[in-house]
Amino acid sequence: MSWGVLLNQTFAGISEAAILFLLAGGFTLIFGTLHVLNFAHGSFYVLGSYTAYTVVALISRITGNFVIALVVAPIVIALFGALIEMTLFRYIYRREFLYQFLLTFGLVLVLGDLVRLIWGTTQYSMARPGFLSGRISILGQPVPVYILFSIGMAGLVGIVLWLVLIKSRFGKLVRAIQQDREMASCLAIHVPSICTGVFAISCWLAGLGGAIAVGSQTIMPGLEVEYSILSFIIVAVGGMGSLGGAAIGALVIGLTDSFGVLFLPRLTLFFIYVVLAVVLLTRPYGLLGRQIIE
Amino acid sequence: MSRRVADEVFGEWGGWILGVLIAVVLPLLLRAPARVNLLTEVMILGLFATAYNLVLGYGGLVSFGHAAFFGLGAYITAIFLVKFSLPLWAVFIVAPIVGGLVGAIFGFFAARAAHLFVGFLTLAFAQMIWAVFYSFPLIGGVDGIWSVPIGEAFYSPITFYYFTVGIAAVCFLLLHFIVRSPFGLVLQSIRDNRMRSEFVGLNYKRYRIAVFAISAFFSSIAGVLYCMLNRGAYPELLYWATTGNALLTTLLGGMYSFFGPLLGAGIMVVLGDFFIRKTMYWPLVMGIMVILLVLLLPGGIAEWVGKIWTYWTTASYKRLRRSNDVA
Repeated sequence: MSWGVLLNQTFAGISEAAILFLLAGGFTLIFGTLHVLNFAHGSFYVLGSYTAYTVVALISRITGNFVIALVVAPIVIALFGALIEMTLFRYIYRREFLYQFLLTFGLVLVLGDLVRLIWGTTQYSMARPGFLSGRISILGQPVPVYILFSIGMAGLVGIVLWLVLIKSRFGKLVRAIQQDREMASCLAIHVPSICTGVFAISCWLAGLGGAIAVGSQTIMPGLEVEYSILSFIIVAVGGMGSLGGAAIGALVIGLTDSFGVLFLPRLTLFFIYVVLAVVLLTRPYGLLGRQIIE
Repeated sequence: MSRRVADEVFGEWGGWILGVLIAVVLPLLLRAPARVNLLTEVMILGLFATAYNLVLGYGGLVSFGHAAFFGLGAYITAIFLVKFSLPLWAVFIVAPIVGGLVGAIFGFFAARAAHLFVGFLTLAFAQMIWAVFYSFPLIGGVDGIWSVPIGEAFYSPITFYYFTVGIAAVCFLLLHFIVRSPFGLVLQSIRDNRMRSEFVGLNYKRYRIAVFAISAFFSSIAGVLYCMLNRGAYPELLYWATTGNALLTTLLGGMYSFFGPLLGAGIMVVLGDFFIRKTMYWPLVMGIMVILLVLLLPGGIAEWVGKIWTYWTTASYKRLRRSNDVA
């Protein structure tokens, strides 16, 4: 294996990890705060992809349309997510986990067909905007600019998110709710609206991930469940409820995927499942996870 | 309370009478062979959903990987009959055993992981199996395996229907026996309060593995029958949508009663047949049904029937009480 191939796959893996981090970060946020496994998370990701593509197509005359799409699409998805949270999820927080999971599964079906209704079943792909295409030479290897852009965006968002969670007042309230929801509400924290906010942020992250992914992949309906599975695997490997865990998990999965292509191109998922199985057998709560009381 | 009543009504004489009615009488009323095939599908889906309900309703676990057992049953049938030309009875022995073993593996991981993750875990593993069968043309690839020779006797829809009913009836009897046995009771106690079961000395991990294995065993039999019905096995049978179908069937019919899933199967096959002809957005309808059921009627139609039954049998009691209060 030459140095060039090694570097190439590493960068590809990290850029994939970047998008996966955005995806899984939202998933772990919802789980840590609302204690809900959002099966429909991948659907928001796919919706983000389609929305970004539509925004780009609608304002194709304006320069910088991709940047605008990156700003607008996640916000649209976040608002949509907030709406769904307020109408549907509020009813199932008190119920058993079984019903939560089933409800999100129903949501997967509905949102999946929603995508088919609005955008049809054709596959879409988008050309990268001029300033983000092309390659830069790093350590003697040509690396696509878009990969660096993805990594940069995800890193920036991750840092901002971490700062918000640790330093800001909102973050403090979120962490309080994560630790003890009832106690937080006794302390006059308006838990429902903060939960809506967290859900909206999570959908924003998923939408952003989907929007960035549009520049490097073809989008088609029917992939939302695969992305939900991926976000679960990442969070299960990295640790539930932990943003750092999402980052680590995303890196592990992203690199496994990109290096797995070299050995078993038809079944790249296989290595990911092996990693998942190994982690589950040795550390059932993930690498950075804590014990969950059922 | 209505759930227990639903279980009693649909688990005891009500269910068996209904079963016999559907099984024997209905096909004689239908003329078109296509309709008889629909009835066969009801039987197969009913068996699959009842096996699924062992894990969902009685075990309290959301499994999203049952398509793996169902699809494996179908694929083993297809591979045995097409690629190796083995006799049919061999299929009926090997497929459930293989399915049960795979189920035990699923159960093993489900036992190790926290209760919350069972859904996603089983889904992930089932998707992996789907990916394997989808990617390798040797075992069918994208199109699957078709033109499965099932024997001339089964080409007639009515014959195959009664064959299916026979096998399904045996499976239903076995499942009913399992559910009413001490094993089934332990299962329900683990479902209701896992920690307390542990205090009493029950090893919930072993029971999780066992319930998955048994459920997978019968799901594979359903898969074998389905392959015989369509004379083919294809990757979609291993896809999560198949599990979702079983899930919705169980939810609709009633996951707290034994024959609820069979009732759900009857409704689902008829509804599905109707809707697929009218619109291509059948998943949308399914999704809305799931959401409405979860929010409004989680016990399914069986619970609804239980509620009506409870109201009818206590209405006289209420009248008596009211008259006493007035006096």
